[in-house]
Amino acid sequence: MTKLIYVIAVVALTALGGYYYVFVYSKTHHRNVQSEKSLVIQADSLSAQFQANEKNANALYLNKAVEISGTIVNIDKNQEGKITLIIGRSDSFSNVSVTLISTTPITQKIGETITIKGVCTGALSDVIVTEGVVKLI
Amino acid sequence: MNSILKISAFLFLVMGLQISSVNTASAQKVYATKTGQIFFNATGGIEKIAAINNQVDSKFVETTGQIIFGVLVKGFKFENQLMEDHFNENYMESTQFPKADFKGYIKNIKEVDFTKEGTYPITIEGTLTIHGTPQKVETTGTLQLKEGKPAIVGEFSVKIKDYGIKGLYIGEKIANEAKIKVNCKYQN
Repeated sequence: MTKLIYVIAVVALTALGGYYYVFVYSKTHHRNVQSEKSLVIQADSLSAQFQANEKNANALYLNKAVEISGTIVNIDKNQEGKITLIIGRSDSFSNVSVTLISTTPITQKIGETITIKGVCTGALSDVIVTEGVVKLI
Repeated sequence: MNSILKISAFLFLVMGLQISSVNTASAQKVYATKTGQIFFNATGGIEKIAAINNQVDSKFVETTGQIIFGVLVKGFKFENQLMEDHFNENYMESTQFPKADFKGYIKNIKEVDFTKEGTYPITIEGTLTIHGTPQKVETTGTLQLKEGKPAIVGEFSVKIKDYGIKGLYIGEKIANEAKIKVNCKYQN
């Protein structure tokens, strides 16, 4: 009898733990890119690598935390109101398109240099970096 | 002398028409966005299986109606991190297939008056590639013109298994058909 109670208790606890992890913990705990070790790279170099060989660049940077530096080409907002930046060169065919996690305008202006930490999700017409946060240097 | 004048006038007319046609061709207007939105919902049971992507890259040509959408699979954000991980690793295999895209035409683009604000019904036809598998699709939506800037809004469904996506819970917790909603506001 004691053994049966013990088995039921273990099964119940496991089920409860599983439920908590899947439906509670995973909703409240998202990946925190800012706490991860990042690959440090210039925006020009990152977009050039994707232009030269996208497969190799994906192998190196896809889903990785990256810290990119470069010149601000454009500042805008996305449809959710979050700040978006194009970093690279105004005459370049492809740059790095960054979406910040914040809706608060940044202090830096177009033409100034900036460093952002975020996650690289791949490349479309630009290399895409999301969940970006401006690094204070 | 008269015939020389007539020939000269004819040549000027022909040259004028050619220049005019070149100008028309080069004035082809392209609208673009890099921050369009795509939502998808594949809820099949109690738990909501839905995500949003805010980095949709899209362009369309005003004169021809040619339109493209590109999206990175890893850019879809879920409320639930575990669900997002499973979506990428077990279903979409986004390391192997990082992109999804649509290439096609707005079939009735000629019915849109780009000089007049309003909401125009549109039909879009083309090839949707998800998980490396292309499929022909046709859907309807609206093109809204406000302050000279167009926005395209549309909703359609895709059968998940048509795109070679396999997984244990398709048809159960995950619906057989995913609803896709597009909302792209374009710049001039």
